[in-house]
Order: sequence, then structure tokens, then C-alpha cells
Amino acid sequence: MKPRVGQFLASTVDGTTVIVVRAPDGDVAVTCGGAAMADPKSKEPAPAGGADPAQMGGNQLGKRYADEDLGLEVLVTKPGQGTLAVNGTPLPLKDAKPLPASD
Amino acid sequence: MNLTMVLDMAADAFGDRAVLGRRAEALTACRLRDLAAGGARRIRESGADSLVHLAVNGPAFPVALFAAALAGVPLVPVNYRLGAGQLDQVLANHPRALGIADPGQAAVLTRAGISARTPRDWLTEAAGQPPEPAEPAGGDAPAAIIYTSGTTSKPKGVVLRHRNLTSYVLETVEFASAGEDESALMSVPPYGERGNPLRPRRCDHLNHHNMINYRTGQPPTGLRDIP
Repeated sequence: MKPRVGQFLASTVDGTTVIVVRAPDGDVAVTCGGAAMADPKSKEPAPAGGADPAQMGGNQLGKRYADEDLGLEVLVTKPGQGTLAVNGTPLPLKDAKPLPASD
Repeated sequence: MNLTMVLDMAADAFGDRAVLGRRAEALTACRLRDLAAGGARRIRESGADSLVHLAVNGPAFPVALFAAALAGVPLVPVNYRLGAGQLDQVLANHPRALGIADPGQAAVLTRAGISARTPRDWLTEAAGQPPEPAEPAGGDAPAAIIYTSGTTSKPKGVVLRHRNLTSYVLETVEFASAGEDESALMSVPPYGERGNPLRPRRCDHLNHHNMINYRTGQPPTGLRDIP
């Protein structure tokens, strides 16, 4: 799939929902719990696939997960038990930058 | 990304949580989204090309910001401390606006040919409209037009696009990081970039002149104050 910035992606194996904050140009496989994530607004049927027990490490509400090399970053808007991964590699947690001084 | 995405995130993740106002009368995230959708319908039906806000800060302001975003028109928050001549110059740029003004400022809008409603009436109008789902504009659409202070020359409008505001929010604050018992007391004028209401926390917007007298009934755990 080719994620778009601002697109919501939902897990097909748990309640996880993320929003795409940064997206690469090319196609990538974004998965949660080992199963492909899908756009809940899309008319196409959600891809079938079961959860991989080895990829159920969980994700946290409000946290960002990013692959800096690929340029993919997602933000969790609903948490779940699945591990977020891109192209089969788990996405590491990204720290928020400190708020800039207001003046 | 459109600004309303931030509101959708909050409403979808914790829709029943109080996000704006004093605890007893606070707007929940879902209520804020409904009011924004109702306000957007009001803007579209009027045919206005912008939404002018000439009033002190309050719950009507974030409703106005998100309503304008949903309607696809920019919000124009105007500095209520400008002189009459400068206000007339600024408002002359927005003859087709829908207007929100404090009662003492309504005449300024009327003089510019802009319909004026008080912040309270704006909230009532927004509540009286059925929320209408709309597909928000993309990130390049203008979200707000902020005017320079006009201290050295006549005020100039600066366009803030949706992507400017969403990237600021996403890059600087952690979504859903405030606890249920936390609140932030906001005391900022609504017409400058520091009046950005997109703090993912419980916020109390108020006229900063009244801050000393303000009684929230709950101690704020954070304060944002621009004198």
C-alpha cells in the first residue's frame, strides 16, 4: 500500500488505529500484529489475515512510531495489543520533541 | 492534513472527555465537533468566504476555528485593541465574511458591511444546526489569516495553512498526554499566533483582564499566559 499523510489506518486484528504523519513515496507494508492495516474509509474489503502471536507486543495511545530510513511515521489514536511494523520490521517508538520556547 | 483531523482524533479517542471550559459546563470533544459541524453549516449557508472574530477569547473561538476549517474558509481573528481606522482597514479586506463580535465591537463589523453576532449567539446558532458531514479541504487550504500588529505600518494579513498548524501541533505535543485530572489555564489573546487553541488539554480560555478574578472551582495544573 501507499500511505498518505493524514490517512487513518486501522488494524484488522485488534482495536489499533493510527494516523499517518509522514509517508514515503513508495509502497510499504504497514502491519499491526503481523496483519496488514487498512483505511477504514476505503471501499475495498479489509485484507484478510490472522494475528501473529510473536507480534503482539502492544502499542501506546498518543505515541509516535517511526522508521527514519523509510520516512514513515504514524501516531496511535487508539491503542491495541498488536506490534506496529513496516515491511516486517517492528516500528520503534519515537520521542516527542520538546516544545519550543514561545518567545 | 486539515486541522479538523486533530478534533477527529480527540473525538474518536476520548469523545466524552471535557476538553474546553470550566469542569461543570465544559464541552466534551464530541460536543466541540458537533458545534463545529453546526457552525460550518451556518457558514456555508451564508455564502461567506471567511469568518471574522473580533472578541476576547472564549469557547466560541475554538468552535469558530474548527467550523471555519470544516466549511473550507479561513478564520480571521482580529485584534480588538486596534484603533478604529486600522480595524476598518483590516475588515475592508473581508467584505464577504460572517462576523462574530463582542457587543461593544458589533458596530465596527456593521460599519464594514459584515453581519455581527455575539460569541454567545454564535454558539447558539452552531448548536441549532444539524451537524453535516463534510470532507475537509487539504493541507494547503488557508486555515487562518492573522494580521500583524500595525505598530510600524498598516496591518498585513499572514496566511496560516492547515499544514502549518497541524505540523506545529503534531511536532510539539504528545497526543492524549494530559491526565483526566489535569487542566491548563489559558490566558492569551485570540488574534496572535500564541493564541493557538490547539492544545490537546483541558483549556480555559478567558479574557486575560479577568484572570485575577477567575474562579475555576478546580486548580489548573498548567498556565499559559501572554500579557
